[in-house]
Amino acid sequence: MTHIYSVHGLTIASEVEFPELLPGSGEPDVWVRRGAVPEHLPHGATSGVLFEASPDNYLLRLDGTARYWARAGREVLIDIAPKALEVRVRTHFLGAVLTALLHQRGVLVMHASCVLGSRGAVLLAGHSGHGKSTLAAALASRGYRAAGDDAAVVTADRDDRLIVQPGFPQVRLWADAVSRLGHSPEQVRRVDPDKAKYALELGESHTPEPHALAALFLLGVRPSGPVQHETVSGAESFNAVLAHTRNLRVLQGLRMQVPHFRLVTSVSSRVPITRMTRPLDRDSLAELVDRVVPALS
Amino acid sequence: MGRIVWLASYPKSGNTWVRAFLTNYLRKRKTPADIDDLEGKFIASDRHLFDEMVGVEASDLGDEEVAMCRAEVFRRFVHDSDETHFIKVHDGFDIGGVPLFPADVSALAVYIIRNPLDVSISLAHHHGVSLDVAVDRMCRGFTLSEGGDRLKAQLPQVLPPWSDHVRSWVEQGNIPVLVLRYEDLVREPHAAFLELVERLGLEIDRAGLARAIAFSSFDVLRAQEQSHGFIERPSDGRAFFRGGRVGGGEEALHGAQVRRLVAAHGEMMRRFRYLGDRDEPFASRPAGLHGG
Repeated sequence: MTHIYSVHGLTIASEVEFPELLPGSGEPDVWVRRGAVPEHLPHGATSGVLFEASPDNYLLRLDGTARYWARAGREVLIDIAPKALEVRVRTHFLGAVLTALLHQRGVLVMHASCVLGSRGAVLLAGHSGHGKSTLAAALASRGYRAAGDDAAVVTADRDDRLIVQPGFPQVRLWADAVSRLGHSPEQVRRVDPDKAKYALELGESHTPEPHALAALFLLGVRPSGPVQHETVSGAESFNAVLAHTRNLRVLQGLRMQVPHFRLVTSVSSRVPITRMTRPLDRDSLAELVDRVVPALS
Repeated sequence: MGRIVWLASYPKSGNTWVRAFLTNYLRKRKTPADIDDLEGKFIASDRHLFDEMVGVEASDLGDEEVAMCRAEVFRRFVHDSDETHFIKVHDGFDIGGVPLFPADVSALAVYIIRNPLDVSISLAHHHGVSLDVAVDRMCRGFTLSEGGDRLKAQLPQVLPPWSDHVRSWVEQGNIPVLVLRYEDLVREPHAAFLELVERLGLEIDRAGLARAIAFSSFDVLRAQEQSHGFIERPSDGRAFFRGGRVGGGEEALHGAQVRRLVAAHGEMMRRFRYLGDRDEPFASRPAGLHGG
């Protein structure tokens, strides 16, 4: 059976079921099929520890779970290992593989969550552990709509406006964030049996439409002190957008630097960027929410 | 291809001091290097480095999968460079026999060792725990940056008991190792740091050595931390550079705590001259040849 989904501006036809994704319609942009995947790409690939990448080809190898082969931004083959845990097969597809597929299509994939304000989409970018999902979930619980967690896809439309394509209606949180946000265990589902990581379904708090990119926050951490908040511009903003691109080494292996640089330049020169650094020695979530809210109104 | 020099130690054993010395020696500036911009700023357990090199986030992998990938992360890291990279490490050399640090891209492991009695005091302060808890961690092992219910900026680092940590590095046999005793760095900084410079194959510059020692003195480091903080400070804001004294452990620990550390680590303490002839704690022994 083929399932049709919509995510990050793509219509995906898939032989593998992804309950995380919203249903889609229309002509598929991408096909996901089950099939044999070689251990390695043919010669000339750049390789990371678990991936290989060459123009139009990306291979990810997770022993005991699956091998994935993404081709030309249009097709993904998944070779599922016997006895693989289904949730892990899906997690790696929705994370690393989907990012590589989007890189193949020449769009900008930022390590960011997305919240909707009255002027458009506001991205909360940060490396793992810097609090972007928690902040997005806190804003969603204040009534703001969210448009994706962990990966935000930015494209340029025909009029060269920067558009954020919606992700899927779920935020993944660690146990401490779940309890800090005051959620009950019924509202969340454990993502992986071995990890204290939970999926918070956004339901009506998720917006499935694309929106213009209005602002970008770069989240950082420091040992102590006040929450800091500063505007970033010039070369620093270019470097910051570059540094918050997901899986940069994969993108380099795919030789997609040219379209990527173009989008990084557009975002860094046209979108207001704020660096916001929080202390690690106390809970500053409410303060962070207060700093982001003005950008949403 | 680049090479890696590991700056390895049990936590609170002088790693940052050695990094401050190296930074000042290599950069040859007229003012002390900023403590927030030291060589070896990259810690081996850096989560972002892992995620980028592996291509899958560590938070989506099991502990065993993460351990299996770590050596390969460092190979990829140096693959496209010709430089020598200094990387700070607190992990033990291996996890359950799986080596984390690949010999083929390693030039040297500098292992900094400090009297475990003194380490326990600094460890208790750094982690905001009692001396009993610090002593217990050093005797039974613990995990640094253990996530559990949250995601930490560093990968979890499995620390075996203190002696096993020392042994894992000084007896690994894969990577040449230079053992630096913290106490020798305190008492005979010129001789000890000169040995480091020589083993690294760096050009020997006597004036530069004296300047780098002065620029990385405890007072300079602490003054910098007091004026603008330090990114590697404990997360609840306590000072990182606190006393740095030799022999503090003997004064601060009570008898049972000393006995427990000596019982657990006596062999390694004797080997590195932290115990006297009658197994009495012996922190103030004069500098001599490095053990190991």
